[in-house]
Amino acid sequence: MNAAWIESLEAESKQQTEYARSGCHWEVLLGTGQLEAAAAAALAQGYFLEDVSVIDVSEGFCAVYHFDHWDNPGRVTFKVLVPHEKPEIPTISHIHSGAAWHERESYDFFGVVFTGHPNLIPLLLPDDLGFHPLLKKPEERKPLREFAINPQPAATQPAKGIGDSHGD
Amino acid sequence: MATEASLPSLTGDFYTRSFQPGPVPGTLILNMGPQHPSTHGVLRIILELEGEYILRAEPVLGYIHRMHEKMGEVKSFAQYIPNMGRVDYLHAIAWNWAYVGAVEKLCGVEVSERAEYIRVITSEMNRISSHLVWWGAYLLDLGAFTPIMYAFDDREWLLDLLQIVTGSRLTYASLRFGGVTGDLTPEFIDGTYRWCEHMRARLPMYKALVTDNFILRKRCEEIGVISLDLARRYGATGPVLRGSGAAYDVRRAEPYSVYDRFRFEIPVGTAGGDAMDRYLVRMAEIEQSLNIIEQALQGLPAGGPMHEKAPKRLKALKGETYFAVEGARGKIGVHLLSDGGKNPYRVKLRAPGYSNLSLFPELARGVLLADAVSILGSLDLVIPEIDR
Repeated sequence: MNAAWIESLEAESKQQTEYARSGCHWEVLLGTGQLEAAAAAALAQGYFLEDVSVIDVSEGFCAVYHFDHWDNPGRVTFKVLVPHEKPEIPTISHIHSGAAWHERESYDFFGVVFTGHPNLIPLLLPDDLGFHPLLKKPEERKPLREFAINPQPAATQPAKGIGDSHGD
Repeated sequence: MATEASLPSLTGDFYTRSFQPGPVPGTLILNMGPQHPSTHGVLRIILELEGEYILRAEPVLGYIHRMHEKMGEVKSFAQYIPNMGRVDYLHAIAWNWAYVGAVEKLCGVEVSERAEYIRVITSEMNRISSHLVWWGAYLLDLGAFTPIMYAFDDREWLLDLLQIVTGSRLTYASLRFGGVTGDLTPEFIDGTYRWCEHMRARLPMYKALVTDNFILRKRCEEIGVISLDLARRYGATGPVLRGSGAAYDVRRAEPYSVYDRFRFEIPVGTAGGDAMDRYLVRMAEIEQSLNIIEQALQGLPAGGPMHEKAPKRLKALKGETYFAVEGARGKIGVHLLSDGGKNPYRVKLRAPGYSNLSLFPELARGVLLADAVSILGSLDLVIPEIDR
């Protein structure tokens, strides 16, 4: 896959991930101010948004944007981390129109506010529910590094059954 | 006819009130659904009409929402498998596969070769049964009652066959980490060959009876044209995308299991992405699935339905993964995180129908109300999947 556009993105960090285990080719960690430009670059490259998923971790809410391409398949993941105290992420629904529903759903489930969203009202849950069902209790939250798929050699994972797997 | 004076007194529930009447005087707000017979399952769409034309449309979801993603966090990895058959009741095996595949990918579980073939065979049969239900129900929407009887007749035989190997007829939960629950029996193999032959012989009749029908053509041609740009911005996949001409199929683009061993074509639309294109793509896919089933039956390797190293009890590894399969409605994706505990930390389900339906408000602008019914049917909506 052509990665030049990813290399040129302004981001906090970016890395290639091991596809056989993570299902993703690239992972890009973005600041809230960098998200819109990166999403626009993805669309300009012909990428479409698969979904927006939010993870509740110790550091805050991690919004995960999965992108894929029709002609040059290869999954690119954008991640944006915001604190629990101020869960605000700029919307990308003016760029990827399909994000509008994914963002409303994330607002329903986690209470993450997508600033600039034209219609951030409940989508799947009742309008008077009063709580966000996928929030974890503070003691249940795990740090994001627990889920890192590309651990450095001093990995926390037992290697058994992973290294020799070819993923299919 | 609503006048400007009567607009502020507009009542209704939360969604009707937030769907403000537009600036055009004399428009009508119409609620389509939740029990409208043209929508399979309970989907509600608020429409603003001027005469018979739609000015604005907004789907209201959530009537069959069950919070499957929360259930994923409170059930163990294996306990969650039956949920998958209930997310999309028409292509349950593909959802099984997306979830089981994600767990296998994350935890490095190997699948027996024979099980891979069984998965392909049952998933493709399930795809055909899904397309048959869509076909019958779509034509019912358009006012033709007879075709669904033919479709259900053919589907009945198919379900009898699937019951032999999976034990269920609709909400399949036959996949396991490392394989499948049951092996193929001679009765199943023989019956499936005969059913494939039967189905091939039926397709020309479907074409003569319905596809070439003048009234159907009038209801589908040049209706609901989805451009590639629209499809990309909304993340449309499956026949909805392929009807618009992009040959994107997860089985080819991101090959999983043994799909790279079979010869099959990816049908695409040729008329710019109207409802007829989507119709023809699905009909052609039935034939392609029959090809795959026959090839898989012929190449069926020896061995057991479970890998010999398959875990009795799954030992989850920490990590994050994404696994996608091609369902009858498009790309089914599972984003799975595990902290090494007995339950998943987070399961995100990507439902193809969700993205496909989300483009409807933009597509419906300016079309006739009767055409909106045709467009909705051509999107092949399964509401439990959209609401999850």
